Amino acid sequence: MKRRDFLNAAALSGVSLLGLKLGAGPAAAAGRNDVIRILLEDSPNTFDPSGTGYNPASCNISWNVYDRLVTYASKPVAGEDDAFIYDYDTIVGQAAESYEVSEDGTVLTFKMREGATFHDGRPVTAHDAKWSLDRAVSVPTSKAQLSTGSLTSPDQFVVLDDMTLQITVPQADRFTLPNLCILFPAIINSELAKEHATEDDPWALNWLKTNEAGGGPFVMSRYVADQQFVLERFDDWKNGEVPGQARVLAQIVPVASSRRATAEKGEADLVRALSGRDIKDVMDEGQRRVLGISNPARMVAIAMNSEMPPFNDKRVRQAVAYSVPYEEMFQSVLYGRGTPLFGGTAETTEAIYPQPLPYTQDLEKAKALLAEAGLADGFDTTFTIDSSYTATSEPVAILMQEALGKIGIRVKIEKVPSGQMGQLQTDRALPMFIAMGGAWLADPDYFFRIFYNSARRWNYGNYQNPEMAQLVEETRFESDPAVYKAKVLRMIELAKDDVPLIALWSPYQDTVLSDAIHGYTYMFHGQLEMRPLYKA
Amino acid sequence: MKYRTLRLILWRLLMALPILFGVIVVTFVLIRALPGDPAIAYASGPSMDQEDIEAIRRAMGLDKSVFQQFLIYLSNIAHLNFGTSMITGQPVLQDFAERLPATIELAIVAFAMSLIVALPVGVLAAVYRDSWIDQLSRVITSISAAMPGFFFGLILIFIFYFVLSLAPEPIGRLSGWTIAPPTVTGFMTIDAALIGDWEVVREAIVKMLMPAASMAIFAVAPLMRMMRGGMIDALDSDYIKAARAYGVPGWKILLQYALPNAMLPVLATMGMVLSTMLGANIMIEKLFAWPGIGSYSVNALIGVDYAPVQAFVLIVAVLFVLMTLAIDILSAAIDPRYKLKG
Repeated sequence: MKRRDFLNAAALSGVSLLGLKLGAGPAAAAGRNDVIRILLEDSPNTFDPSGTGYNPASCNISWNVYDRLVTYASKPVAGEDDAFIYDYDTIVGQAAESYEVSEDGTVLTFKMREGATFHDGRPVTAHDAKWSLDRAVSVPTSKAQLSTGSLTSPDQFVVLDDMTLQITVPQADRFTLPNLCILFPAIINSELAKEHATEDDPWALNWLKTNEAGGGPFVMSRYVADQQFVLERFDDWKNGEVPGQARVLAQIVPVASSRRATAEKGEADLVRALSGRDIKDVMDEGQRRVLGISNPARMVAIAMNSEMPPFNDKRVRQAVAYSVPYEEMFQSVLYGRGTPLFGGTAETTEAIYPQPLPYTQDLEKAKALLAEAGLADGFDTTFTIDSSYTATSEPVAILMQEALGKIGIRVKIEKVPSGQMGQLQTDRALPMFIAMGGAWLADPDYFFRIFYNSARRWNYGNYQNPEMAQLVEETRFESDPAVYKAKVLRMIELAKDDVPLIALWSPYQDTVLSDAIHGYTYMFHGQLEMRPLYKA
Repeated sequence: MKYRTLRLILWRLLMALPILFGVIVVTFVLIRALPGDPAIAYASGPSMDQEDIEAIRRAMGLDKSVFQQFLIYLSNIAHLNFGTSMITGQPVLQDFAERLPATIELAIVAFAMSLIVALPVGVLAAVYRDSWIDQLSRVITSISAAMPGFFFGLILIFIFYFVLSLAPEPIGRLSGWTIAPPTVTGFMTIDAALIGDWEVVREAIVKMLMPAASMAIFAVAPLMRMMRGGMIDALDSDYIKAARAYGVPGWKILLQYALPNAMLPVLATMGMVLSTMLGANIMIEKLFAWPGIGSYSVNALIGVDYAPVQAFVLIVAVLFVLMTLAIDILSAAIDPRYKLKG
C-alpha cells in the first residue's frame, strides 16, 4: 500500500520515469494466447451490414458478426506459407447447410443448417433468411448491388418450410450466388430485429446500426466509437470450422507512425493500413512478418475525362499513357508493394481484367501522338488528388506533372477533400485524377460494367463508347464460355486502345502479423476475415 | 457587492446568447457552402445510381430547402438534439459526452504541466534578471515557441516508448487490456478513483504524460514570457520600491505585492492557452489515438458529416464564453482595479 502510494505520487509529479516504466508492462500482446490484438486506422461507423453510409472499416464488424447463406471458400496464396485468399469460383454453404441450383439455373434452393442458432439462442430458420434478403433488396445501400445478381424483389424469396428457402431468378445469372456471398445479404435474427422495427422504419435500420442481431462466429462484447471494439467467439457457432477460442481486441489508431511503432515492438498481432515507406522499413527491419496480398479485382489508375477536350481525343490519352514514368512511380511511391498493371503485351489472350496495359514510358511516341492530335505545343490541365490519400497520390501527381511537362503538357495539381471529390467525379468536372477501383465480384465483364461504362461516378474515365456499352450488355447473361471469352477479349482491347483509365497497379493489402498469429485469409472486401484466425 | 457580481454574471451569460445564435447561423451556412455533397459521399456502392443518391438525400433531409433545414435544426437544438453522426453512427450528443471529458482531462493536465514549468521559471527569471536562470528561460521559450507539439510528441514517442521502453504505447487513454471503470464523470482518473481502482488511476495518469507534454510545449513560451514581463514591470514599480524602503521582507514583497499585480496579463494568456488546448489539438489527439473532440470533428469535417461539425463549433463557443467569463471574474478577484463589466 505504501509503495503504491509512493508510485502514485511519483507518477503525479509528471516526470518520474519509474512511474512511466510501470505503465509499459501489460501491453505485450504476443504473450497472450486468448486475445488477438488488431490495430486499425479507421473506426467502424455501423454494425448494420447494409447500413446507410457504412464505411469500409465497418465490414470488420458486420462481416464477422453475421453469416451469409453461402460464402467463398479459401485457397492458399501461391508462394506464401500460412496465408489464404478467397476462392471466387468455389462457393460453399455457411448459414445454409447446402444448396442446389436447378438445371436451367433459375431456381436456387437452400437448406438451412439444423441446430444453428443466433447469438440470443433463437434457431436460424428460412424465415430469418427470407426477412434478411427482403431487407437487403429493399434498403437503398444494398438494393442496387443485389440487382446486379438479378435479386430485386421480395417475391423471389419463398419459404418452402422452416428450414428451406427457395430463390427464383428470371433467368440464369452467374452473379446470383456471388452476390449472396457479399457483405449485404447477411442473415439477421428477424424476430429480434422486428421487435425493434417501427412503422417508419420497418427494417430496423436505426436499431441495427448500433445493435447486432447476428448468428456469426463472433459476438460483439464491447464497442467504443473511435477507440476499440471487442469480439468474442460465439460458443454455439456451427456454420464453419472454429480454429481457436481467442477473442479479438481491435483498436483504432489513426496515425501510421503510432501503429508502426507498436507493430515493430511486437505488441500487436495484426496491424493494418501501413503503406509505402512504413512497410518498407518494417520489412527491412526483418523482425515482423509482412504479408502483401493484392486483390485481383482492384486497380489504381489515372483517369482522364474521355468526353472533355482535349482528352476526348484518344491520341491525347495514349500520349499521356506513354509519358507516365511507370517503373519509377512503382518503386518510389509504392516501394514495389503491388502488382504492376503496366508494360503488358499488345496482344490480348487472357480474359481477365484488370491486367497490365501495353504501355511503358516512351516520350518520343507521346510527343508524336500529341503532334498528330494537333497539340504539338501541349496544353494546360489540372490533376486532382484526394486529400485523404496524399501519401501515395501526391508523389504520383508530382511525377506526372514532371513527366507531362516534358511533352509540353502543363499540369496544375489540385488537392480536394474526399467529400468534394465524390461530387466532382459525379459531375464529371475533373479532367484528370487518380482513380481507385475495386470490384467485389471478380468477373471481367462486371469490372467493365462498373468502371468502363454507364453515367455513374464509377465510370471514372467518363468512357462513352457504344461498342463497350453493347458488349457489357451482351455479356451480362452470356453462358457460352467461348462467346463470353471472345467478347471479354474485345472489351480488354478497347480498354487498352482507348485508355480512359491508365492502369498503374493493384496495390498490396499489406498486413503486419505477429509470429503467434495463423490462418490469415484475405477476403474480397479487403477488411478482416476473422473466422480462420487463431493464435499458437 | 455579491449581488452586483451575480447580476453581472447573469447579464454576461444573457449577452452570450446572441453570440451563440450568430455562431449557429454562421456554421450552418458555412458548412453548407462547403463543396461536397453528403448524399453522394454516402452513396458508396458502385451500383448506386442517381435514384439511390436521391433516396439517401431524402433520408438525410437534405432535399428540403436550406431555410427549412435551419428551422428543423434550431428546434432540434432547443430540445438538445444535435442529430446523429454519419461517421460514428451515434447521436452527436452521446459522441461528445464520451469525448469531451477526454479532451478536458488531457487539457487540464497539459495546462497544469505548462504552468508548473512556466510560472516559477518566469518569476525567477524576472527576479534574477540576466542570471543563468534568465538565460535558461530564454532557451526554454525559444524551443517551446519553435517546436510544433506534434513533432515534440513524435520525439517523445521515439525516445521514451520506442527506444527506452519506459512509456506505455501511445494509444488511447488506457491499455487495451485494462477494463475501463464505469463512466460517471468521463474523467478516467476520477471514475477509477470513485471505484477505488488505483491501478487504473495510475495507468490513466501515466498514459496522459506524453500527450500532455506535447500539448503543453506550445503554451510554455507565452506563459513564461508574460510572467517574466509582468513580474519585471511589477518589481520596477514605485510601490515595490517603497515596500523595499520600508524593509518589508523580500518573499513578502514578491508573493504578496508583486505577484498579484503581475498575474493579470498572465491570467489573460492562461485563458487563451486553455481555450486553444481544448479546441485545437487535433494532431496530438490523432498521434496518441486520444479519443477527444478535436480528431472527432476533423473526421466529421472531412467526411462532410454536418451534425458533429455544427455541434463542435457550438460547444467550443460555449466553452470560450464560459472561460472568458471565468477569467474576468478571477481577474476582478485578484485586482480591485479590474472591474467586471456588463
